Amino acid sequence: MWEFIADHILTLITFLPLLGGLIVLALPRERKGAVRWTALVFTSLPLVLAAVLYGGFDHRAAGFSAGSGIQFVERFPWIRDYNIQYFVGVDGLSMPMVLLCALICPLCVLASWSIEKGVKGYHFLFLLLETGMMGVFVALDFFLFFIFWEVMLLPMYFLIGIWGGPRKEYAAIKFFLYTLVGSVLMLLVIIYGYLATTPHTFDLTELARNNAVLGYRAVLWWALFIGFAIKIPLFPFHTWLPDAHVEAPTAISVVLAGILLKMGTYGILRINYSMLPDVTRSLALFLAAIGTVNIIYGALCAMAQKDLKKLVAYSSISHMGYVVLGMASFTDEGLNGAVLQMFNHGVVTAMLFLLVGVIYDRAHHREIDGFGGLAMVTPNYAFVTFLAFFAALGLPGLNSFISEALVLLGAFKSFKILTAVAATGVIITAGYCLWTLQRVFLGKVNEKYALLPDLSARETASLVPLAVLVVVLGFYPQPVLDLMRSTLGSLNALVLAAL
Amino acid sequence: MNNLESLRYVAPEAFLALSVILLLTVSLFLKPERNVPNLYYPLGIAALAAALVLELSSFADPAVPKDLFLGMLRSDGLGHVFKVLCLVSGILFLVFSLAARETAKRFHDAVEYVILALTLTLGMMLFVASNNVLMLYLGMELLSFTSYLLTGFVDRDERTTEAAVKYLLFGAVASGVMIYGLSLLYGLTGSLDFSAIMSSLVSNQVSGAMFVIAVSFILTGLGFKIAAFPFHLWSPDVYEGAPTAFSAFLSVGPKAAGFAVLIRVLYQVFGPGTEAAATAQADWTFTIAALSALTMTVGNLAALPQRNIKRMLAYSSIAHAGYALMAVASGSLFGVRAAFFYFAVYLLMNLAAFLVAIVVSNAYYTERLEGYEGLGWKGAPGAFLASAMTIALFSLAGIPPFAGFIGKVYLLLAVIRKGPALYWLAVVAVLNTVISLYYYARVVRMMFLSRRVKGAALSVRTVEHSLSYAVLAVLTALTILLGIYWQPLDRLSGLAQAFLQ
Repeated sequence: MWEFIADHILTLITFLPLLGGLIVLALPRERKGAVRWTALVFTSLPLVLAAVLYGGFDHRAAGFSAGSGIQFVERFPWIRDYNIQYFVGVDGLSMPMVLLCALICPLCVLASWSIEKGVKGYHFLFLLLETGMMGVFVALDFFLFFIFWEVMLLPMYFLIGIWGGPRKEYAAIKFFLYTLVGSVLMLLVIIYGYLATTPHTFDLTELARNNAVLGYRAVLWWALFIGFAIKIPLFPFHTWLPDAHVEAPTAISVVLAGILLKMGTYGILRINYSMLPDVTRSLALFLAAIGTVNIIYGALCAMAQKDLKKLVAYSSISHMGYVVLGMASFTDEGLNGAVLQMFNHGVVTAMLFLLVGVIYDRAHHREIDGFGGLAMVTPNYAFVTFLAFFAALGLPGLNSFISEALVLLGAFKSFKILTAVAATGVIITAGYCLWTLQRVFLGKVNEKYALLPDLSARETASLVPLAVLVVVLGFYPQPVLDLMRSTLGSLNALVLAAL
Repeated sequence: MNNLESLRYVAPEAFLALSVILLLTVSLFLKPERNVPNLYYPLGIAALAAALVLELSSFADPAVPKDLFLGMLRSDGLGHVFKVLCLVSGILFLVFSLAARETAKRFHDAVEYVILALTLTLGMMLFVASNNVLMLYLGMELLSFTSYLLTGFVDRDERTTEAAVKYLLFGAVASGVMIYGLSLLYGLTGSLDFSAIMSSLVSNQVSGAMFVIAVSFILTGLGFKIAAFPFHLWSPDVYEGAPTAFSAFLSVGPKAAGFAVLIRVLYQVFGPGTEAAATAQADWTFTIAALSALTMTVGNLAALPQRNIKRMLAYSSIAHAGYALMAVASGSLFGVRAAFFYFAVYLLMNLAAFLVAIVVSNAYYTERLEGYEGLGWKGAPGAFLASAMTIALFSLAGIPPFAGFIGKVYLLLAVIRKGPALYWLAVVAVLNTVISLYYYARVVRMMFLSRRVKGAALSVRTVEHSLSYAVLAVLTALTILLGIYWQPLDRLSGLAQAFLQ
């Protein structure tokens, strides 16, 4: 039993949610409580297993792409004639993402407790979504990766489209079409890469090792990049994001910002960097520039928003810009900062969206100017929100500070002027965060909301783990940094060696 | 091989022909009675199923192609696997007819209907097995004439009449053009046999305007059968007017048969590996690639504004013919495998979509998209129907983990393997996938995202209902299963490659 779990831990983490989803489907329609608890159990099990995974992960031995650096490998042929494998494993790049995903999903189930319509369908789709997300982070076969990548689309489409806000249909199809454009380009690259190698293979480690056989390198790079850039989302492919976020139900916004956006940068690091290192290296300046644009543009847009959720959505665009800037620096600090920022932003933005959901559940609107003086009415809520916004603006002592500082430190070595421009983003961010806090929580109490109830036990339970992480990682980021250091070091060396 | 020896290789065809005669004879002595349940459908299904068993058991040695009846027909892998497809679609045609209100109830001409269905299937089987220009034409006409009759068989309204007349007129012109092309080919080579034509083309270095005209005219006739651009104009009207079960059948059976013959003609007559073909082949590769790109784009763009489910599926099936043409354009043996694979999964998902259309039209008397509003929220049967439709449509759009995605991968593999000359076609194809998603998703949106539940709940009480739900469950399950593990189907598709000597 234990041996089986140890041997198949990644498969279990990936497919337990799907199993839970099938169980949910089999439950009777009226048993809403049973459905919710089943979903909670089957999202918590991967969290437990992820903790085991964390314990067993040897971060010193973690490398990149070389067979030895990947741990907890499971590998067997799937379609033998076409050399398609079921090949999963984790290294220092995917490990933080698996942990993040495992952590956020149960919290989302908690946040979805108040959903009343179509409970069964909702939880089935959510569990399917978790399988898709986990699969993307652990898959090391390009074909398998693509399947998981696309499998996420369907539940996401329905989750936004059925349980979303007033313009849900528009938002859902926009999300679907945007992402599909990106992924069909990726599919062409996958097939091209498969045919270019001899023997034909979809194995990502193999493709990285033999990347010299690939022709049309710049075209391939751009085809992959556009697919991932849409997901991040990078300017100018970002327009689906505010729509999707505003219309999606709370838990889905959390997943979208907390995990899905990271897949874009994860994909660039895992695939563009390793398969086409020379092109990546030559486009470093472009990457850094587009990252900077994202930081400034996202922050300015956020400042202009009247809707609290839209503000958080644009702040995500801004924060993902740091990730791209850090990635483009090709320094160890920058890369580590970028991946740490992916993790930290996942935690912070999840908190922010949960908090927006809390206020929306009570007031049924999200107008920033429609509140006022809430700190007096709901002190606990105000405390957690202040913490989250302070983390978002990068207050020293909270987690985002470390990652943003690392990113800027690394980027400054490579791009002095761009980094100086990007650093002004920190000020704009502080501006909109503080201004929002002031408008919502300070000032005169809005009489309409004088009797607003404070955080419930369930809401507290979904927020506390994240709040603890925000503080702990702010003082002691080592546990996460250790995971990725050696992998990112070898990835960086790989790219630097290419040119 | 002479006529007597050949007989044992055409057991399925012979059996079908005998069944037709037997059914005709029996019907003379049985008066139609109003209250007796219709026995002819089960009999027809049984006959087709028996033919399918015979066909599968004659798979013994498909790797070695054999010429039958002194070269009129040919027994080879390509013919075998496509005949299986024809038979399966024939069986499902009758099952669907049984499930659909318009063809199941108040229907006293059932025996003629079933006989026509059997004859049509026989025509398709002869068509795909033909090895001679005359046989090709005879098979095609047998297939076409029965199709015209079945299109207008149920006298529903003026759209049906329009469909049948339109189909007949278009079809007559197309077959006239085609036989003119075939006769030019005969004039050029002095032979009717495929391999003799090929060797004559090679040895006499045939080229020039006459040859080009002959090839284009033949392609016109086949293009009409598979509804490729610019010969696709008949199909939306015919699909809309014909009984839905028959529209479903038209979109897979005759289309697959047309593709099998297209492959046969292009590979066996104007085929690769010969000197003359070296020039001719370069030509047809590009021609087919261009046709493919145009067909899929026109089909998808025209499907966008459709509000009638049958018209939408008609345009979608034009687009899919365009996708499948990619495999033919690749001109490789892998392309043949990919084409068969694609048609096999296309049969599953497209027929699943049509079956949902039949059930919905039974319940709500509508073929408009509005009839689908809130379908997913109408109790368990509604949720099942809507889920099955969703899976079928997303599979058609080529989204994993459904079989349609694997089919697309095969087609892209075939095209990209061909080399840089056809990369543009792969790009056009994947962009078309995105366009197609928009109209497929509109149906899904109607069913699930809209929560205005209109119309009564669905009933599942009658036998016809449980039959259609069961068939739908099987089709859907296969669509998912083949999307996850498709090795067996790949092996079967591999047989299609063994047809050149």
